[in-house]
Amino acid sequence: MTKQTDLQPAPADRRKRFSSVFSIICMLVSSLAIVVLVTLLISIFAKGGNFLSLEFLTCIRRTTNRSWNRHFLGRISASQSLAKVLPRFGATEH
Amino acid sequence: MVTLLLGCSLISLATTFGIIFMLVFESYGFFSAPEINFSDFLTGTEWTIGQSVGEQKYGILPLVSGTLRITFIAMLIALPMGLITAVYLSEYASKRTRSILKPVLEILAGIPTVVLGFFAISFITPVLLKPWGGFAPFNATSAGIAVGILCLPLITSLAEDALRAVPRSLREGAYGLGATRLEVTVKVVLPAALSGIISAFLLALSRAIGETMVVALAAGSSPTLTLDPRGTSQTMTGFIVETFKSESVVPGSIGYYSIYAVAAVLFVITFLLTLIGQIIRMKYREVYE
Repeated sequence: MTKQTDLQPAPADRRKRFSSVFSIICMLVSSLAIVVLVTLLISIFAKGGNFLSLEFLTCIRRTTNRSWNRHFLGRISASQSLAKVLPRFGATEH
Repeated sequence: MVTLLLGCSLISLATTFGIIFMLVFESYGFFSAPEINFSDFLTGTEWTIGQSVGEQKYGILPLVSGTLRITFIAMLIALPMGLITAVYLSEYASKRTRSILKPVLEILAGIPTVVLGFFAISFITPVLLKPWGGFAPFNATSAGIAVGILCLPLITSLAEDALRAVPRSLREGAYGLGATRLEVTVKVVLPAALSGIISAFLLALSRAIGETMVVALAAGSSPTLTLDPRGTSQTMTGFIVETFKSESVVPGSIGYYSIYAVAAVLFVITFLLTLIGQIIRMKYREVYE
């Protein structure tokens, strides 16, 4: 008898509620992709937006070349050189 | 035409064998050196290539641990998010929502990895992780989150394809029996698409293990054997990049050959993952008429 009671399906309204809660969770998780993309774009434009100018886009000579980097940073790893460069972009902890 | 197609196939085959040959040939230079012991290489807990000759230690475990730590964090983010997004797109989303979400995911997939690496050090670490305290400026968590973002569109796209390939008749049958949408998804669609979903997971895993630019920028450059995700770490790919650029490593030296030895280990790991993926796909494959 107890076994039969265990096998009874959950009430229809509870099952429907679970289903709609799951759909909301799915929607929220999916919208995280949009949040990530928007945050990424804002972060990039907040850091580098000031550098975007007609002159920057059309300039044919790059001044921050390898010899410049070597002169100022020496021979160090990519992450170490970023640690030195990033404070200029406001990332103070590096 | 058939000859042309065969030629193209042979080119890809020859490329693969060429890569394997190059890895084996160059790795031999490393393992044949008198100071290198194969078992020490696989089980050693110290990797100190920058030290003077007598003090150099070549135990690959710190690099493997760094790789696995970052991959684990990436998968912790990408697997559930990717699968849930795929379920949403395949089972719940309206046409309008799909028309918004799909392009967003495609843009995410198209973001260069160097930008994601920069995003990790300029946003994830200082804004998301710094308030929690204890995180090094270059850390495994930050790199792991960025790699997770990188793998998310891949998992979503492949898992969604697998879910959409499930015949409509299966869904309709379940709905006809009075199942809710959640029950249809969990008890019918997901089991039917399991082989495709597992393949998607393993492909994303291989992608995370082989990712280079994000980890080279955001994870740091000290190989450490630890489980702490807040500390700096170096992955196998990160080591290869940094060592190739380094002027202190000259061609023909053990340091130079160590690059190929690490690359060979990386190749073996990703090859095994692909093999496991094939076996799982064959085992759980469902064929519908």
